Amino acid sequence: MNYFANDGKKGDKMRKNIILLTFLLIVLVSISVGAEDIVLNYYSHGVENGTRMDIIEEFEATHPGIKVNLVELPQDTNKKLQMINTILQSQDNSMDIFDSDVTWPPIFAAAGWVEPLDGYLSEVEMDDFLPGPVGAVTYMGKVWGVPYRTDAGMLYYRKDLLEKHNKEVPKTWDELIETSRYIMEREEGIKGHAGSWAQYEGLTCNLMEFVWSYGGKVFNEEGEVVYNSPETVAAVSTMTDMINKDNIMPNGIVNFYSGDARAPFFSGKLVFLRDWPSGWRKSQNPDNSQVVGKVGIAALPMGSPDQRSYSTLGGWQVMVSKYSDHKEEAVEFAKFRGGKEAQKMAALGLSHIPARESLYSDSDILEKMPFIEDMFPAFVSAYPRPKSPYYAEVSNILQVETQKAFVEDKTAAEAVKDADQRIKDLLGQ
Amino acid sequence: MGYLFIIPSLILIFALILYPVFNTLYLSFFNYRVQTMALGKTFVGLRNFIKIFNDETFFKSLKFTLLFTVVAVSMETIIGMIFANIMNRKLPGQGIIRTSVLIPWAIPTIISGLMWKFMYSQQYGIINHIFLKLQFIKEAIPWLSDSFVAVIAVIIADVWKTTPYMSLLILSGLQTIPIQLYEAAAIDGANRKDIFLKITLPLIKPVLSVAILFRVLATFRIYDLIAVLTSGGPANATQSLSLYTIKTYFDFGNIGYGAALATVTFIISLLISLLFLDSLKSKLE
Repeated sequence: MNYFANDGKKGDKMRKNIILLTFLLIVLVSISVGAEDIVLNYYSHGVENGTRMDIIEEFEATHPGIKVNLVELPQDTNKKLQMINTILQSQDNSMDIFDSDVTWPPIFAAAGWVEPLDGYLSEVEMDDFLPGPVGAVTYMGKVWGVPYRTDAGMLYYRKDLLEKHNKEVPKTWDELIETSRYIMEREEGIKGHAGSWAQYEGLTCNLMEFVWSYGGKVFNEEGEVVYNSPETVAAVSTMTDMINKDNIMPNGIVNFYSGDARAPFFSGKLVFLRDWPSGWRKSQNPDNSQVVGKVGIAALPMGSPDQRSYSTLGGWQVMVSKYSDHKEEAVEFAKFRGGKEAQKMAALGLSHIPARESLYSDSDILEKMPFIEDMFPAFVSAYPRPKSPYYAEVSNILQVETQKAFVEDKTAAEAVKDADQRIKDLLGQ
Repeated sequence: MGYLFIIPSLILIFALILYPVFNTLYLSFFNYRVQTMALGKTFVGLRNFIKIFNDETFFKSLKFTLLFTVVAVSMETIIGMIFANIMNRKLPGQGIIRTSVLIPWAIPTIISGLMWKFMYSQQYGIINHIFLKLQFIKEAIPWLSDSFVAVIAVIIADVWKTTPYMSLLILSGLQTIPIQLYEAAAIDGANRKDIFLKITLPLIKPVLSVAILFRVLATFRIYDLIAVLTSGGPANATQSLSLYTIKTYFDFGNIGYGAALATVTFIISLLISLLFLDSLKSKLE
């Protein structure tokens, strides 16, 4: 209490020491930062467990003279986009680099807000990236970002149930329906399949996997809308039948977000589940899963045996703002962030799935995430969602029209035809 | 001289209210999109508004929003009135009653939205669980996944959340009524219905109309609760006007059309408040 009063001199001395120390610290810090250091502002995901800061430190250590200041974007993906949009719209030079979701490059590229990276990246450097992420950052023949993390939809299945009933992992959606019905008839309280089919981006991801695997598309090579095709109708019919005719989906599937789809699978009430890789760890954690050790992973089924399996591509890239005052340095950081070393750090520290092929044979990563070996086919067959600056609106049209078929307001054929027309109207085709 | 002192608040009003409103109005006359921002904006006159009147999604959202507003606010008023009367009595444990009535209002909307979402779940939701256990129903109710039931579910969640606000405002009105009026009425032999209709209701009318006006305007612009519960689904069955406007403006990047939608929403809200202007003016006789 009376420290200073009782022992005034000692207190004074201590205070002096503290002041001196603080002063020294300030001097030291200002020397180490230096007046000539370039500071890059990187608008990024939250810091989480510190791995992101480690990556930045590693970059700063190997690139003297450049400092990176991490600015946290909001948690919600749409909010992230809104914030980046606002900054770029006002031509603000305080943002040099930013994280971009897999569907955003066309938005920024078309608006002329980001720096094309072709001049900075050699072909050899791009070679190691998986085809999906490269496709996602390529728009109008140019490369607009460096992928640093990939993601893809895949089929989770109950190994034990399939073994018990002597069934193979389904190769086609029809087989999946058949197997589901077979097991549902013989097991109490079990449903067949689930995915995120609520009216949000998750539905577009799920829908596109069906559409592609039946041979349908939203746009052709020339960018024309070709959604209305017998293939797409077949895909949407299959989904609608899974809900209303075959009855293999849990009740309430049309309001299922990814967590809602996981819950019944983790509690052992589903045979199949369409999920992202991030569900894997949770499915093997006894605290919130009753199916530990009973889950297998496979590529998603095909529409018909002569098609191939498709997964919707997810993942993140770094892009460089056109309004940055330090583009050279910003590109340096972007390359580092998407480089092998940083992706390995993120894989080990944050369980991020690497976007570089060579990392799938890295022994450290395989030790930490042995499952990526099984998942690799899905990552290679991952396919970007329709590329358009109007993507968000296109996606919304697809969601709403598909849900109209789900709730039987329309037939699958009508829903596909109407979605096709509305996308054409939107794009003025 | 006195005007000097109101300058700070005038600046705030201009910067935070008038400028955004007029800028939105201004932008609604342009074809202006994030995707083509590099090309600038082109003046299209009233074309955005003409498009609104041919926009099926707009009318669906408007219909839902109006239905939602009318049903939710009526229920809030009736239940709020009952709660206010309970809270106005001298009862043992009145403090606990008042606090517990107010709790839903104190919970942030996003959190109460998530809470209702868990309770509504068809898989593990407590509502279905209880109903099934008590054998009220044979099959789980598809609370959020049926176009019709989802509307009811959203209304229930909103009524639960905002009734306390209503009852609090009505309570404040009830407390201004002099006790002598009730005593006189009792001596004259008036029954409870007469007392309510001839004394209570007319005397709390000014407070009640303000409360209803506030609720109607807030409910008409409902966004957060619905965004959490259904994001407007299934198949746009619960998409409110605000949700549609925000999606168009921010998510789709269609600034011109989004601004026009916002303007129309603003005008409708303005018309609604004009309806109440009369009752707000009316003085106690």
